Amino acid sequence: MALLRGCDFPDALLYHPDSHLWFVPAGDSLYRVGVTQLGIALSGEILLFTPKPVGASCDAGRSFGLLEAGKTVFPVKTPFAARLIEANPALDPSARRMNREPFGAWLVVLQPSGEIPPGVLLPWPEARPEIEKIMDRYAFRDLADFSAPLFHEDNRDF
Amino acid sequence: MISEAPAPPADKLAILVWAADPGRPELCATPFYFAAAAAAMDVEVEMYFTARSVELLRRGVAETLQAAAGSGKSVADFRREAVGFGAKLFVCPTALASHGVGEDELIPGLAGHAGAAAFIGRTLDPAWRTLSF
Repeated sequence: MALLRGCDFPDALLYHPDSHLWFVPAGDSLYRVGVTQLGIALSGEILLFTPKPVGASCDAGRSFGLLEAGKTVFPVKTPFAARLIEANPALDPSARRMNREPFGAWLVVLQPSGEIPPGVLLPWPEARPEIEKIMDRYAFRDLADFSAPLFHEDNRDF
Repeated sequence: MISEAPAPPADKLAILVWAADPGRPELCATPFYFAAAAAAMDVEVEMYFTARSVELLRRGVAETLQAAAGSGKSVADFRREAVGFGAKLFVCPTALASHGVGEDELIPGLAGHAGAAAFIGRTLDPAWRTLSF
């Protein structure tokens, strides 16, 4: 398990740094998807997760659900074209569990609609430089003393 | 026997804002929050401002309002988020005149003028759903 500025990044997961999502193969070409500790820290305390209907197809860059954190909403976007196979029932009606268990409280299971382009899902060593850049942009020095910004000026997904 | 195919689900949302105005700041963030949530879920969103709610589009007004005192987040911040996610804002020209808001006082980036007929057109269009605040 890698640790960076107080955030865990399990070695067994794949990452899409820009969207703050982690992915883990879940058999039959499926991926279980969740939010990294960094993504949750940047959002503030997450309260609600509303997925699109199971079976919905999403183009790359389109949202498969919505996170609500206090007074802000964040679309959660798939980095590759996919179909939503399952949403985590444990996050309905409250998604607060995500704040405590970022790697247990997964959001959805996605089925890629085709080949995932290379470089989209990265193992930790390759994801790390981009994640560090994001941390620098937010002056994120350590999880323990970071406060989520009230606004997000850079039009990030969350 | 006549059978009709079910209408496809609507994926567009028109929001009428008329009762949320600077006199009731506690009501003013919610329309923008709902617009942001819908737009973030890839719904096409239009907001129609009429009555005294047009004041929320007057430069410098929403910046001074907080729906929850001490939250640190102004109504203008909520508005910025809704627009950032793609919501389009329309203002009623009749209401502008009624409330003495000049064209040159409006925030930049509005989608245009639209009055009652435009919103009613959305309510009658099966591709759209509507909300009012």
